[in-house]
Amino acid sequence: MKGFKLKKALLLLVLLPAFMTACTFDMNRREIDEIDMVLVLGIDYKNGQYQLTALYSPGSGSGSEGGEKQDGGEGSEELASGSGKSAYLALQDLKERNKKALTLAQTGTFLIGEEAAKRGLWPCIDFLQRDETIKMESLIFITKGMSAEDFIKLGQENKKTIHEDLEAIKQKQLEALTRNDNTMVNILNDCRQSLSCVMIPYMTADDSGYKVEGYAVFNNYILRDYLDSETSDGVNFFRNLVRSYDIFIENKAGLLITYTKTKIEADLSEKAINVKVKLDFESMIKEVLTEEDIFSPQQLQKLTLEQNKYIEGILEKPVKYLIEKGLDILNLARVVENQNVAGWKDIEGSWSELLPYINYSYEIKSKVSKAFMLGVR
Amino acid sequence: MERVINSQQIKELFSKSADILVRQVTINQNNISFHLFCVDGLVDTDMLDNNILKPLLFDPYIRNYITEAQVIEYIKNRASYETFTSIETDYDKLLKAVLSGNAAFIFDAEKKALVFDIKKFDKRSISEPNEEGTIKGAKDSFIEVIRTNTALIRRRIRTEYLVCEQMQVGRVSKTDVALCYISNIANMDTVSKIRDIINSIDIDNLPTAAFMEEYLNPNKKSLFPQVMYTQRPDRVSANLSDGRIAVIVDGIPFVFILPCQLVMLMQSPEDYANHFIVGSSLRVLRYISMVVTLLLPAFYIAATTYQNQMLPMKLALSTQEAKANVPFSSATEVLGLLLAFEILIEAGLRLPKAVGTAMSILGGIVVGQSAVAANILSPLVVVIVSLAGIAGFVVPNQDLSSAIRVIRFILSLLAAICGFFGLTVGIIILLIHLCSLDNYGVAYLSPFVDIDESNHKDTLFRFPINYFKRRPHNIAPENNTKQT
Repeated sequence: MKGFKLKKALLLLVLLPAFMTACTFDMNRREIDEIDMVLVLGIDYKNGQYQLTALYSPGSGSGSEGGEKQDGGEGSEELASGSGKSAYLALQDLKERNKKALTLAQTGTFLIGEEAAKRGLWPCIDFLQRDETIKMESLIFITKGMSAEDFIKLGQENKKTIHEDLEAIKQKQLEALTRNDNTMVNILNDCRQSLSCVMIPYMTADDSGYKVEGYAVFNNYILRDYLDSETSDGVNFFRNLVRSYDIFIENKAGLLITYTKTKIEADLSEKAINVKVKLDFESMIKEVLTEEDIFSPQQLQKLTLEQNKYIEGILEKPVKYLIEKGLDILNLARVVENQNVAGWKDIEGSWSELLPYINYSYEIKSKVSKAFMLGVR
Repeated sequence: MERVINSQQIKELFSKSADILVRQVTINQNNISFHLFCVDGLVDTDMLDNNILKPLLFDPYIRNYITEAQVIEYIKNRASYETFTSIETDYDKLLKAVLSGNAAFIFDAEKKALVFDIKKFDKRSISEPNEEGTIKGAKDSFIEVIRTNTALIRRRIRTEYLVCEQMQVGRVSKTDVALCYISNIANMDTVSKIRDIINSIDIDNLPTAAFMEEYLNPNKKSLFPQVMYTQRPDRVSANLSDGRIAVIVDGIPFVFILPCQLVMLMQSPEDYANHFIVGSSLRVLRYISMVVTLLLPAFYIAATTYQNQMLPMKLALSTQEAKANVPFSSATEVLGLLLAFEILIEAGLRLPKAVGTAMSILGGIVVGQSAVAANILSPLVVVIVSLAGIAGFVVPNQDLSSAIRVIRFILSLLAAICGFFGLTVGIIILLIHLCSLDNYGVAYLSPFVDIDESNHKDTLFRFPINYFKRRPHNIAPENNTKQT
């Protein structure tokens, strides 16, 4: 009996390391200083081929053949590119060209060029969702009016530390919104609802830097349009994403919204769809632009009504766009489906025809609070 | 050789031992004499002279007794001023008693001896516990003398149900061992199991605490300590009143407590001396430290060698930068530094205090800094290993701390072989092992694995004392009401 136990123990001792060693063949064993970590990846479609542009931090003084070094900020960043018939092949090409192994494990931002976006979202992101090292919280942006490569190069020309600037944009987004909805995982999740549009923020670049202006609208996974800034803000209100928002009431006051809560109720009655938007928000007076005493109860009441009207105007913008273009940019398909499970089956097939005929009503409640003041005006 | 009580035989037996005294004493005119048999240095000579021999020699009535039997009875019941006097007829027991420090009068004709318990030998005074000190707690600790130790416990537990069974272990050393428990609380099955283990020990000598600990250990192959030891009488009394059993060994300034669970090893007397929120915070800190010391080096190896996506981008970049010119792999760096750390600890233990401090500075700071400057080590590895090492010292039990240090190596090795996969396999095996441990009928992970919620009030968090209504039912099954 003792001999048997000993044999089992010995067998385990031999098998366990063998098993683990076998596992290491597919474990991507590579020291952190032996890899180049891609920080920003641009995906473009040029000359009938997909092209990937990687901005990476070189592991320990290495680089790619012909890699361009950027000397901005604290760390050095290098640029490498690869191309192929598909985005995946372009990535393989990129890896082959680079001296060291490249990893997308630390990529925080994926930039999709306008041309690539017009060809379709899936070919750009399919290979990414199958890479187990990708961070699901990495952000996706569309580069409006230019390729991702040009976008990155423009940053390089302007001596920007691109990945740090993009990180700053991410933080700024989080100051205005409760969460970043353009993460890899959220975009993939949005792609599942084929009746609604996928909304990905777009960026513009100029000499002064990068800016997120609004949403790029994808219908059937193809880039259709760009929303202007106010329409995009309306979308954010519908999505219950707004953390803070500036309101400007001419000749009266500047206010800052500090809290919002949006609830959308969708009701189906004999194929008529009624959508009720309930919005509660609180704002704070940040700037007084009149000689009147706007802090009196009557004036505050008036101001409340005015800010309600202002926000209603913002909410109406995406609705107007939706009706005009027939594109479900407000993700109403999912709302109607979730709230009317039985009735949804009857209208699912004719959703795109019904979309412009949805009835909207708004119930906006708000409260104005005083900002801290030094002295009295 | 006939094994009856006889002075001549004893004289011959100890003829070469200078410290054994066998001297004839005649006590009355009827020529009745006995042999004084004792070990010089172990008996209280003042007591022997003034309370036993002097009264006998000047006793006016002893001349009336003409037989040894009468004299024995008279001394035992009337003449001696010594309380602990007994008659011994067994030769072996007589030897055992005298070699333990008692004095004996041997009456050859009757083949009997009168034994007087007048032990007195040099001993250390009761001092502050050096390993388990508290600010607000009691300041006494056990010493090397079993009787002092039992007295320290009985001073705190005055119930008539406190039992101190005394046994002897060791064919040559004949070491006294006491088994203490509160008979109306403790699980008597466990008591008899421990008693059987102690009785079954057949060894010539018990020189260190580890010997007894190993005999009492129900899972000898496990790295985790299965027997808790303490220097503090208040801790022993608290555990006795919870239904646990204490084993006291003469010559060892510790007391063993059984059954032992992991949670006990993470507790400190200071937890109860502080406010319950402070006590709970300290405990949580200890558990966090245990996880840090166990997993941090392995996590670093796995993250820098396999799954760097586990690191935040900025940390990954700074790690990459720090490691840029180091010629060794992360695994070699970490394992090598862990080994160096262990060497430093081991060397520090052996050296005198003053030299030890100098060596710590030389080893820890000078060598460490030089190694980083010479690009032999990455600064982050130094931080990781130091943090893991320091966190290890937060664990209050030294045996547990040592076990964690060994397991830390194994987990780091597994992480080096196949990253987080290996680390996860290691953690699962560790958890399975911990879950499978049974300590005298009580799960080692109890009360974490207990269904009874009332047992959870003194685990990760220390609830206020008035919440401790019941004793753990698996330790004190019969009488588990602690307070009402």
